[in-house]
Amino acid sequence: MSDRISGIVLLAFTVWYGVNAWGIQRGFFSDPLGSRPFPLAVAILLAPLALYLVFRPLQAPVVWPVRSLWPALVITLAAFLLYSFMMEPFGFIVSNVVVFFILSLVFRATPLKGLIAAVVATLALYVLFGWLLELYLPTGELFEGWFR
Amino acid sequence: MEAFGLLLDGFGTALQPLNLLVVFLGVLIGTIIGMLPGIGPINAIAILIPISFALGLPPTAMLILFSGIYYGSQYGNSISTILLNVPGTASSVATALDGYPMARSGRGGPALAISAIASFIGGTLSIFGLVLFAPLLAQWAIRFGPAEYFVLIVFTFTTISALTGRNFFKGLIATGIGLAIATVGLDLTNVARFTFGQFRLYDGFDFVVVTIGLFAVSEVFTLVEQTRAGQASVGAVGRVMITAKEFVSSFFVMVRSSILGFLVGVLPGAGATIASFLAYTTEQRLVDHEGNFGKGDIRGVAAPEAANNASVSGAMIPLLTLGVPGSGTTAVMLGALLALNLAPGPLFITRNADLFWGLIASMYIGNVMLLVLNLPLVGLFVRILLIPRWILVPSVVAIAYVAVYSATSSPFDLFAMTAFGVLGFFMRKLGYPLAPVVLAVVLGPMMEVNLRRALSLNNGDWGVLVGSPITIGLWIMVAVSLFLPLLVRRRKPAVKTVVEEPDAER
Repeated sequence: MSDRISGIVLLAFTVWYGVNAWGIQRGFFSDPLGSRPFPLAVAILLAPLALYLVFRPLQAPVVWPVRSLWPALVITLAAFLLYSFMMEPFGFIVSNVVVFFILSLVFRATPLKGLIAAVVATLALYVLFGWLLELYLPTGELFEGWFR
Repeated sequence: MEAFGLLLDGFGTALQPLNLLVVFLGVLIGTIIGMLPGIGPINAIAILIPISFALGLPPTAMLILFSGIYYGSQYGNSISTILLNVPGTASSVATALDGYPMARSGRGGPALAISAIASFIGGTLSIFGLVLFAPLLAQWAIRFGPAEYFVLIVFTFTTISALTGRNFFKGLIATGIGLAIATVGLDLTNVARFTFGQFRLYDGFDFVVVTIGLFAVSEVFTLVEQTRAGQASVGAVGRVMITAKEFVSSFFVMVRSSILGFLVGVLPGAGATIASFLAYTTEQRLVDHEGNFGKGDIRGVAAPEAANNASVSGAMIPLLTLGVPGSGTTAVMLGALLALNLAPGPLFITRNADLFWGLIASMYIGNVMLLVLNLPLVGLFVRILLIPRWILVPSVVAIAYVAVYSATSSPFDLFAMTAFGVLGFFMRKLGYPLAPVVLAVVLGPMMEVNLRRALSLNNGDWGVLVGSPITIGLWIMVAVSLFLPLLVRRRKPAVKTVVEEPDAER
């Protein structure tokens, strides 16, 4: 069943991809082949494979996470998205402490241990990346005014 | 002996302080990440690419670092495999067959010792192979034009689809998905494809973002599932030593497995996993007359460990001489070389002699360092396995996101990475291999450029694709790789069920 659904999703993607590939315009300086055939060929490769999955699913047993695990997975995803959202406005230190803390809880730390680990690890990473390797770590747009 | 002089020069390069430092860091990081669950060499290298670019590391040092991680991880892999029965990657599953029974019967020390020694023999013997065959293949590859490259890439895709993962069709689908990702952005005639008016899509998806997302981010989801199982405890290792008798009994096993592993490593898509299983089953037939394999036979650890380390040098050959990698990890290394404007190919070794021979020399030095790290110091490494997951996993996440952000300063890339992580999670669950996606993302643009170049050089005549003996030979190999899996599927080898356990070849 899982294979059949993945086949349908893949087929939908392939159709969408193929339609968009069809709409690609020729470049101003062009070669005999042009920009359209290669993506079209990719769609033509994927379409029969997707159909094959829909009509002849491979019956491979897929072990989906048990129901009680999904909240943890969703929280993990939320933490990743939060990291991406927070990085520029809040800067590395705040976003890293928050996201590290959430993830450590997902991996079953006690709140106190998780918080200590988050703060210590953030400072360690700040020293390693910001000072030793001299990489760019955002201060955070919200805090930039404080340091001026 | 011209090669000997060049190798001496190579040692001159490799012994420069910076290069010595990076080879040490490389093998150290490699051992650690090989041992820990869920990181693997492909993630470590992908994460280090933006960092080393930001640091302005010279190309030689960068290549030495990444290779050190690559072969170092094969050493580290065996530590967690033997002690915990948790293979870090698929390439050490064969090691578990005899390594874990040895550890359980209190012979963990000898198992670790033979795995380090076998890794060393496999690692160093195969460097000879690299020195011997790379220049030969490079000379032959000079005849490769755009048409030949196009067909070679087709061959690489069909073999990796056939040889990784559980199912050939799923391998092909993974390749197709990778090719689709690769077409996003401006093409060689500056036509915007699949950009939907978004300027940040004009450069396409960076292979680093795709790789870290597919492998590292998705692995975190997988680890969330596993946490409920709890963390295993590590027992005492004991003395990491073997007797002279044990060494003698496995010496030829290691030599044969090294040669086998090296040859398998050269093939695209085959890599360390197949090398280790092939060596294990071959030696089982050759030397195991008493039926001790699988019950804790020291030769059953020696064979796969020699082979999977040897396959790493083998895998470097197509990367360096053809510029067409055969595995996910070497594809990521190619991505780094392309970003440095160092396109590997037939002339790469002659044009970058100091880089190539410096790399070779560094591999000898690195293997000696690994022997020291893995024999007397293995007890220290074992403690790393005791780091709780709730510190380890968030740290890996933070390092991955910071590395990508520091390179591009773009939150969009972080979102894209997360999205690829979700994609990777579902692909893993449904049994799709991930390595072909990365390979296709890196090789897809090369494939299209070579096809279009071949056609424009011949005024659009498709005959050029079958116009030389090399292309015809390669098409025959494509056909074989397409039909072989369909034939082999009928005869299921006994070990096949075990290969499928951990996720795809890295």
